[in-house]
Amino acid sequence: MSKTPTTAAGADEPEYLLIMPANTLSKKAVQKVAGGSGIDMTAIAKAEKALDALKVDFDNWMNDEVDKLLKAHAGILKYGPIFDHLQALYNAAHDVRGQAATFGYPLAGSIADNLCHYLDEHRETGNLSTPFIEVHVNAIKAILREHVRDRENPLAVQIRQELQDARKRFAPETADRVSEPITSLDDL
Amino acid sequence: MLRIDFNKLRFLVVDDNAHMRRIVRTLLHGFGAREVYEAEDGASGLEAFTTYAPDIVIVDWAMPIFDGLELTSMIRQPDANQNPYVPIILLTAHSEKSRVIRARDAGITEFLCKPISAKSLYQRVLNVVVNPRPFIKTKNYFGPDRRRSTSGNHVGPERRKNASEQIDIQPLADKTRETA
Repeated sequence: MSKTPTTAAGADEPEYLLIMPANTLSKKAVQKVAGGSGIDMTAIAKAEKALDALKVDFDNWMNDEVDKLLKAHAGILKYGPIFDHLQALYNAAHDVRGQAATFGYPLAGSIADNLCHYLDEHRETGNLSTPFIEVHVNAIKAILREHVRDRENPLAVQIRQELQDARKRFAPETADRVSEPITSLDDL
Repeated sequence: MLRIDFNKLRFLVVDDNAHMRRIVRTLLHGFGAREVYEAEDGASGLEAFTTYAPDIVIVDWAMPIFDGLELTSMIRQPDANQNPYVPIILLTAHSEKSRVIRARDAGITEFLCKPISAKSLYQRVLNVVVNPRPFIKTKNYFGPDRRRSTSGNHVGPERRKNASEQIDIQPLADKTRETA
């Protein structure tokens, strides 16, 4: 169904055009089901079960991601924090922060998130502490090596304390990300 | 309750990380989708978009060649032959406010922050299918209406006040693939 466009009086060219795309997806893919409310938890449960079947691979995949991080970090140790190696480190840390929790290592994801935040804030200025970066990389490596999946694990507590100490020593002017991450466009 | 028949939807997942593509594909198949296409960078993503005419695109931000926002801008060309209104769900670990605003301004439809979960992905798909957003076309922007609040208490410059407005109901007859 279409409607002839209308233009406000006195304006040859509208400042903006509001377009209502036809809702074709809803017509072809949405069913109204009697009973129940909210979203289809059965579909979600099936997808979670399918994801569970992948879990046997998660440790190998986490290994792959941490290997990329270690290789990128080795480049920085060898050549210094120059652009290409910093970018490689950032990309690897970014992948870890996005996937570690899915793979069962949420603390590694949080540490990688803080590393990305630190690189975001400082790589333009060149005011980077390579020891501070190294502490983060080593912490993620230790989490994987020791299979630290629980944030309350004694080793997890120790790692968090060491990171706080490292911050005081190497980057006292830098805070961990304090604002809550945005999880939806509705949060803006 | 509304139930989505994923079997009727065609997805394109564009992400340079093979593990993440596998996870997203597994979740979509778990929901019941059969047609899930994949691409590993922005360029092949654009090619796959043209070839497969997906109903929904799920795209990562950081990718080689061109990234997810550049891909979004290329898709959001109002005169393109392919469907410029296609829902685009950005799946990314970039959750800082400034980044999310950039993504919104590039024309994404929904934002999904990693780590991904079955429920969060389902909710985003449900939203784009059941509640498609109106589009806004200006000199500088073409994409989903960026004002999401329904309260009417818009915060920020009121660019639309006193601006001339044109409303067009887009039938999409020549913008979407024919469905069998």
